[in-house]
Amino acid sequence: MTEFVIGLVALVGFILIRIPVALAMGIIGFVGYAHYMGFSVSSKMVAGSAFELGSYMLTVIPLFVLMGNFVASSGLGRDLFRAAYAFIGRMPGGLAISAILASGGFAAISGSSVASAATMAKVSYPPMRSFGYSESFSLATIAAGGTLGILIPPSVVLIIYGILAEQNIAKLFLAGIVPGLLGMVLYTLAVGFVVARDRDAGPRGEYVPWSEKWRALREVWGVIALFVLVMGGLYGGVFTATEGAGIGASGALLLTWIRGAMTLAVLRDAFLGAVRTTGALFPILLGSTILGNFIAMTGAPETLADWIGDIDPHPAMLLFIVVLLYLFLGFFFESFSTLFITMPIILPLIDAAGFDLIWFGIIVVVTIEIGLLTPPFGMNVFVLTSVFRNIAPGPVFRALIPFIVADFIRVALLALFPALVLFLPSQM
Amino acid sequence: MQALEYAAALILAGIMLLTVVDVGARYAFQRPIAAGFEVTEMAMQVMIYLCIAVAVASNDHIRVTLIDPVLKRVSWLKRTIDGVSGVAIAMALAGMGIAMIGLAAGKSGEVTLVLGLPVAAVAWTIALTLILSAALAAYAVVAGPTDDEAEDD
Amino acid sequence: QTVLTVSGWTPPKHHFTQLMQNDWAEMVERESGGLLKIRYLPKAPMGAAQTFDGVRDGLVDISFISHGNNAGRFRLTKIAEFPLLANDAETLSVAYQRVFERSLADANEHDGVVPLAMFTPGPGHLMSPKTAYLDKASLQGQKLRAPGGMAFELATVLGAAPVSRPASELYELLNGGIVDGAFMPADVFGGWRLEDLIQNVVSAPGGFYNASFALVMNEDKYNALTDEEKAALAKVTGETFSRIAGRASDEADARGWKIYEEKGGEVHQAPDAFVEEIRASISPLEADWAKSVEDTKIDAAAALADLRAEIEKMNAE
Ligand code: NA
Ligand code: NA
Repeated sequence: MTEFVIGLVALVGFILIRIPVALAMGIIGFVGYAHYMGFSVSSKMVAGSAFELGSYMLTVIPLFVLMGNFVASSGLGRDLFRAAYAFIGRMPGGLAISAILASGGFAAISGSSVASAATMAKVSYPPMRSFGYSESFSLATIAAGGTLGILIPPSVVLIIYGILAEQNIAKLFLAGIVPGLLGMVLYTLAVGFVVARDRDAGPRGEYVPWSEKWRALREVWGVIALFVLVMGGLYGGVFTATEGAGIGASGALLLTWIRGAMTLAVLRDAFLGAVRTTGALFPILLGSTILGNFIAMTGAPETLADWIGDIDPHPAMLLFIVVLLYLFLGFFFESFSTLFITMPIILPLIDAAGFDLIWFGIIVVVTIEIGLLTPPFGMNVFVLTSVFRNIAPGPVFRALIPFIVADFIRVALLALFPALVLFLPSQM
Repeated sequence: MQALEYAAALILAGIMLLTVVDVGARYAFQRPIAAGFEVTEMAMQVMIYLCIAVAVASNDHIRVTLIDPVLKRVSWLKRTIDGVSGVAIAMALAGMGIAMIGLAAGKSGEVTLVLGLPVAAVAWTIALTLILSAALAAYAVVAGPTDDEAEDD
Repeated sequence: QTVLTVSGWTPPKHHFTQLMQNDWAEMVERESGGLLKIRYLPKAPMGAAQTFDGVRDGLVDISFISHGNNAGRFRLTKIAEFPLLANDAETLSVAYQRVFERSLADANEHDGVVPLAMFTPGPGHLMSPKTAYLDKASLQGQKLRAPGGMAFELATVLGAAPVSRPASELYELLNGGIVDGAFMPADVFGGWRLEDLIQNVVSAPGGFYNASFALVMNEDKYNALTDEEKAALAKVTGETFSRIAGRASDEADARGWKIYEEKGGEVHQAPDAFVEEIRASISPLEADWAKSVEDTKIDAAAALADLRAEIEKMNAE
């Protein structure tokens, strides 16, 4: 247990002084594991983890990123924002709400939160700034909207959860839809709250005539087509969720071509962009695997399980404890690491308490999403600050508070009313 | 470096196309590609290490930049941390490469289920890519910050 | 007291996880009078295909492997995977352990680790949402998901088109008709909600195929045990372990059947003619296998006959 605390403190310290996250996790995991098993065994553990890193299931990550890149370069993200803007840009806070609606739409054709946030940043940040929205509020809105990407299907994180919990991925995807829409509503209310307190935070956009509105709406057909391709193929039984990523990427490529946006440069940039994102993300997965192996040795997970066993909480209390735990871990880890490290310990407890594992998966993902927005490790915020250099993350984190409150309300609603999650999958 | 990038991109395109062909073949001709799964997985194993090599060569690491505003004022400290991390990355990659050679040696005789492809070949490729990445990381340290990063300071 | 670190790669709720984490762990402690204690790691430091290497390298002291995950490295162990061997896992596991001790252990295929026990899960069945496959003709060109080497070979020789895909995709594969059927043991029911899809199960006497598993231990750790500890470990490994592991699989299968039957699915016994077709199809497989392991100096054909005889003897008891 002491080792666990030392490891966690060292991790936070390393990460805070801008040591690359994967390196920090990997080194602490490697040295910590060697503390128990010796350096020779520890290096074999690292080699084994490295060899297993590229699995069939994880092909969804580069493929969904590739799909997002094509969608971005075909101008679909821009069209989504324009359509939302045409209808509600005129409201107070209208551009922020447009950004959230467009993110929600984009989530329906993107499997990863990072890809969503990065694309929507390019699309919605410039207009928000030009109408006088502050840097921090604009980016906070986009970071929050980006989290919808892992809840509204398709979703890489739901696929990973489904594999770890042995739950049907198609059902998990359906289960994410209503909570994702609820997230859009609550984020919109959060924008409303900010604007109600400070009119200048969310200036109105320009008036858009009705003819323009309808034209903008028609432009989103590509998004709908792509969503129907991926989801229709999945629920129609033409391909699996994993294959859906490959089909979605090819569909996005085709769509870019149909829309006349395909050039050799676009093709190259989409692929090379996916290569770069993959190269940045997978070291973190490897680092978290290595770190997880160290954490398993520390005995901390068993201590936690024993402790929960000793107090033998009421199921509702157990759920509360588990949600708190995920919030806490979300401060330090990104979503994959959190799932890989905790599932083996948490799942048996939740299952024994009689909770539905599809419903629990959604609760976990919503909770983990909050972690994407909180310091010190708020993945979405760092993605944005790496897109727009010279912006300090501190004020963005402060501007995110209303959105995080909205997320807490969402977790509470989903916990109190499981039907919000389970109604759609029960129809399958 | 460019060659690595394009190799990774080609493999990714290959994985994407294999999915399309697999889905198409079983839909149109009722004939699935029996080995689609294992070929995809092997391609994936190799591709991600090519991607990592690209990221390492261009000093593209996910970092938490919370204290950057402070560090900007103490630029020697930032340079030191980045230099030390760069050296640590190079060493970690080299160590992993060597450990992967050991793993590859132990895989001799192991084959995939359908095509009977040698599993060790994948491990050897990963090992070589890791060692190449270590060299690229070391070069990135020697060459100093890229233009991109210099703009930040 | 010596603490033995144990890990597993099956999902948290799988009966092998439960066996290693709870039932066998308690048995070890009880039978050794507290000399040995099991520590089951909450997260395995390596995946299924890396488990043999992990135990050899000392990442954990004890774990179990499925030989099919390292195709090519283990060849003799295929003996327990042939079709039409035994109707339950307990019989096959115990018989397999006996034959392993008698004839296969000398080949030293588990070089680098100590093989503590051989065992198998329950027999594999042919399951499908729509068609009940009751003869070889009905299988021609049908897409079947096959979990391992033997199931794959059997599907091929029966004229089907085998597909190799992870178990996590089974529901989607079957739901959309991406595959027409799958070779699976009965314990899958309840795990992936497959009972919602499968309407037909065809069972062959002795199973369509099986899978070979072994409980293995790190060599250095084993050699470092005292004689007293080794004796205590012997009481809970070998045939004893094969028996409880087999029984755990049989119980998991029974739970699976119950779930399946409550859903109203049908179970068909393979007609005699179909069984004869299977028998005819597998005899070349057996011959190929015996030939492929000639270099081990083990009379593989005799060992397989011995395994069949052992099972028959146990069935008669
Ligand atoms: Na999504
Ligand atoms: Na966080």
